Amino acid sequence: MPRSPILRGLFLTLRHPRPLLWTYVVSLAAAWIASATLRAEFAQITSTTLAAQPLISGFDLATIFEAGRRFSAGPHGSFAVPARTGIPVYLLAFFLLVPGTLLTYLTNTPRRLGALLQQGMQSFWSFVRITLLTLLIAGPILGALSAAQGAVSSRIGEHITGEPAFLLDLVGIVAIFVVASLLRLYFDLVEIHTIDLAQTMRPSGKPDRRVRATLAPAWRTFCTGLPATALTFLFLAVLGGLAAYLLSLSALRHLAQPRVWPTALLGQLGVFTLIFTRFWQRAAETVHFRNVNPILRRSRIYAPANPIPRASIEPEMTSYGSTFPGPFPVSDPPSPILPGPNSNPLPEPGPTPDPLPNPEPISPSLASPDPGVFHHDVTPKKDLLN
Amino acid sequence: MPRPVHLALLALASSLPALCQTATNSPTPLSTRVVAYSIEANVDPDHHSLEAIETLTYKNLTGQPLTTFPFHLYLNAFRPQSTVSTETHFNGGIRDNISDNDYPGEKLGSIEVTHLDAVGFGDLSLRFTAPDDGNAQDHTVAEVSLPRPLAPGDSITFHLNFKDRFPLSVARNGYKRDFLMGGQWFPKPGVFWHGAWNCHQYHATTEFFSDFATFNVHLTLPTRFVVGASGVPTGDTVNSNRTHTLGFYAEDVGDFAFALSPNFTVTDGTYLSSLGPVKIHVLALKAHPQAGQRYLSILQRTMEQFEERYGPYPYKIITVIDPEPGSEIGGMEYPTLITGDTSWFEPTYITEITAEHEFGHQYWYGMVATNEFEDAWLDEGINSYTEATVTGALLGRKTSVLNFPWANLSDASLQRMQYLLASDFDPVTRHAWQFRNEASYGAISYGKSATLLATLEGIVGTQTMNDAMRLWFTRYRFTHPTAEDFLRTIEEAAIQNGRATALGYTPTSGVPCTQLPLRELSDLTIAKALGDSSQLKRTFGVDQYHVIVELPAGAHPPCLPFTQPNSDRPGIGVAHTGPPDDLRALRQTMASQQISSALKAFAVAPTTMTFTSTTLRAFFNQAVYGTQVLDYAVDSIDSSPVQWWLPAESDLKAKDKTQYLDTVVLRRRGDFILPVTVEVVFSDGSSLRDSWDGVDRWKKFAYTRSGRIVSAEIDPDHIVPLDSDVLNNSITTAPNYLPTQKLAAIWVTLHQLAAQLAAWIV
Repeated sequence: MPRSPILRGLFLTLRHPRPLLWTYVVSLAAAWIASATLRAEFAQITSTTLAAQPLISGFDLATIFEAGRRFSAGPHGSFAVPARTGIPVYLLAFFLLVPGTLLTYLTNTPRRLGALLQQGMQSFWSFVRITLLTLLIAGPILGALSAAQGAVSSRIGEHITGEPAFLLDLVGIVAIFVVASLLRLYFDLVEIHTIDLAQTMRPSGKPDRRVRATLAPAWRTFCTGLPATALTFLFLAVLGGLAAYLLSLSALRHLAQPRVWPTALLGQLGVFTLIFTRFWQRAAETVHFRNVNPILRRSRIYAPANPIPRASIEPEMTSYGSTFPGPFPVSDPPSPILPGPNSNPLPEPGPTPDPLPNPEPISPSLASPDPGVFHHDVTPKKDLLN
Repeated sequence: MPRPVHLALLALASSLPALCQTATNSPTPLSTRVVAYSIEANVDPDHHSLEAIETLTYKNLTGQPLTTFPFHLYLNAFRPQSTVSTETHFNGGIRDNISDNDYPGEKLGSIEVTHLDAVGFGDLSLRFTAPDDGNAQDHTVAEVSLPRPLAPGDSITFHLNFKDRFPLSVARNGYKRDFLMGGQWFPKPGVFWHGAWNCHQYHATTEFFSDFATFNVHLTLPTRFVVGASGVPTGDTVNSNRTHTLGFYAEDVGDFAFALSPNFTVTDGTYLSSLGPVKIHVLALKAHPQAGQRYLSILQRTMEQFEERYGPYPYKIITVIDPEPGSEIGGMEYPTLITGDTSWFEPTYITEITAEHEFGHQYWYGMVATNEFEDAWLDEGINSYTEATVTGALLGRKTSVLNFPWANLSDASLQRMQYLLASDFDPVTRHAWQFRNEASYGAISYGKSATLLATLEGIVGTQTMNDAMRLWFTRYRFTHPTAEDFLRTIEEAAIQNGRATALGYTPTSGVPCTQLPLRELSDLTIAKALGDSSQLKRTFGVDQYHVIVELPAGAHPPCLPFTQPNSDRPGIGVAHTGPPDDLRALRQTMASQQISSALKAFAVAPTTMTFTSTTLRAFFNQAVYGTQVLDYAVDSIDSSPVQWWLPAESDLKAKDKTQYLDTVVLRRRGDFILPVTVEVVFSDGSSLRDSWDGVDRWKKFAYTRSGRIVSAEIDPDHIVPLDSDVLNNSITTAPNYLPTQKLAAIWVTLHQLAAQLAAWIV
């Protein structure tokens, strides 16, 4: 029976907090480091002037404007300039952390930062390609929708005003948000499939990192049980956004106090909640992926404890790989045993045609029942992992 | 039936109630009514147009024969060839899409005069002129030449038939959805002012200027529309063709505007002024269910404030129009009619501020009818200043824009922020269409003007400024005063309150000095006056007195402060004494120059003498007529032991006995010179205030004290908001990083949220 993505996703997120925590730490660190110049300059502007008093016992926006004006006359131009470095740094870190996170959730295996980053580096260019693909596909779709929404909004605005017009506009915005979420969900699944596929080997002996090979399977996964999956995704997105909004608003409401920690704490809680729900989404998507693509259907086997030397395999046999659960640490190369779920089942044309038909995948020699088949949530035995 | 005939019959019918029209404001005219308008208009809201017949009677009060009459035809501004459109395109303005290279067809507007004649002068024709920029394509001003001059004191009656086409809302005019604002919609003559016609083209940043008049207007339109207009309603006649004719009458006003919409809901209220009840007639859109009460409430409170501060509102009605959202009609003033600006969700006080501001224009533009083309600051600047004052009193001095639990913003700060956006491109007295661009016009006419007046209030005191503003209103209402009139009013009030000193006197124009009704003061009465500042007033029964000083032979006028020679009366210098201190200073100076025996003093009725200049002129010359930027800073503070060669004391008691050389260095960073007050606080708890004339580039103050300097602050009472950088006005040795921490906390959080949002692409 398929597991509930939302509950199982929550379980996975909580059980493997390292990716989440590292992401949050990177987010905080990137913002904090990016704000260093801002803090230094703002301190220089406000710390020794009595004119900043309205910011101590209150939060006078005019004083902020005055300070911002001075700040903009300085080398940085505006408050927003430091973000030009901070956000890209965070995105880069996100690129590096997401693949390892997905693998962690796929394999239900904890990974340290080094392993997460290593996986991220291995999958870096795959994710760059996916991101470009996302932009290529989502950009026109969302752009067209936004244009349409703008046109509809103008049309509405010609006849309706006030709250009804706002609500109608909101419907359009929500529709765009839903489409954006579905696109995001699909490309999340592409990423999961890519990570999964990357654990298999191509005939060249390299991990299969073809993104295009995952598009169709990801689409099938996407379409399978779409309403429930989409609702889960939307629910978590709204939950995260709402929590972040409310907590940030609460943080702002403490600005007038002569202390900073309530603002800082509530603000960070909002950020953490937003990141947490995003990881929860990822975990839920992973569970959905596993529900749709059970181990057997995906020819899933466990890798042997140690890499099997290529020489021990019959030379004419096609190399296959498996991942679940992947060897730990991940620096171990994947074991080429069986074809990946998305690889071409037909033999690749080689320099010398093989007269023999392609052999059926051999049954793995397992020391114990396949936990991927019978016990999805059972931690793989140690001897299988090592 | 041809439409002109129909309109003429309609005009005849609708003029009947007007014949019985009685004065609405007061039994006697409040203003010099130069023009009388009677307009019968057939409005077609569905096609955004109207046709009208206008009868205009102009009385020649210029004192000279008139052969030409210029007329404003401002709806012609809404075409791409006009000066407004060109200025807007290149310098910004009130029209949207300023950078667009096309002119949308729906934004076209026009006014076409189809017929013009004058009683006794026959048919006449209009000729377009462009007095400001010579743009032959600009059709916003047209001139008519009479076949013979109109003698002084005579009247001329023009008959005009005209057609209007309203644009999609632009520059406070036109339609939006089924809402229509009719502003500047009829031919209106210029103002004969200072010996010439004053009739400017419509510009991107200018407003209007017109003579006081009476308006008897009838609007015929479909019955489904609710109408608000200048003046008081005089009748509503339902016609057979699903239209009705609404009558309005206004007097002692310079303009007439109307607005109509089928979506208005009416909220009426009353303000009981000292001149009688005033009806507050709010027409708010159904889409803004809270707006009616908000407008009504703020207007009642605003009218009370204005009456208390400046004088009563003399009209019997004020109509508030709540324009369609997204239109460019919000926040505009017309006589006895204003447009507000709000939305269905408006948690700030912008709704209230807008209503207050536009109501303020009833005083500063409506009644004190300054030339908005040439002296925009006299209406927008003064109004912004009184807006900050009144909203500060009503909504909180620090919270009059935003009063959130977590943040605040005041209207005065908002004005100052606007000033800082473009502080030094143009003087406030620049003609409105000659500013560098729209941003500079806004920053200077609104922000800087309001801020300089707030600074002036700090210099002369709140009471003096209140007196000056009240005097400005009561003296100049229903006239067309100038910038100098305003400045001299402030000087007069400041002299009267002893907050400024006259630097010279001259007889009032037209009265020779030799004919001044002088009343000699004996030394005794002067001595009494010196002892009691109100003695002279009681003795001589005048509010203000002056002293004529007879100069001894050989004494040169410049040797006497406050005096200047008078050519009409050789040997007589003119001096002014406001408070006793001035007279005392004058006598001391004369005594020091051994000419005290020559002093003769006379009381002079205040209306016969006037000052030529005051100590406030230096401020006016820089703040009003100049573009100087005011910025004084505490450059450094330092506390070092006087006996610096001795080793530092570690014992606290010994430290307490240490004498420090405390120095404060002030610096003038801008080119605006203003006397500066600095407050220095020491670690022993003491503090002192020192002053600097601010002329030099820097000034060092040194004190030997037992305490170190804790802080030094320029303008400790915060009365000089014109200072362009208040953050450098002080230095403290006890730094506080809480503002930085607060900002960092917000910034980091927002950065993280933005980064996480951006991560959706990954």
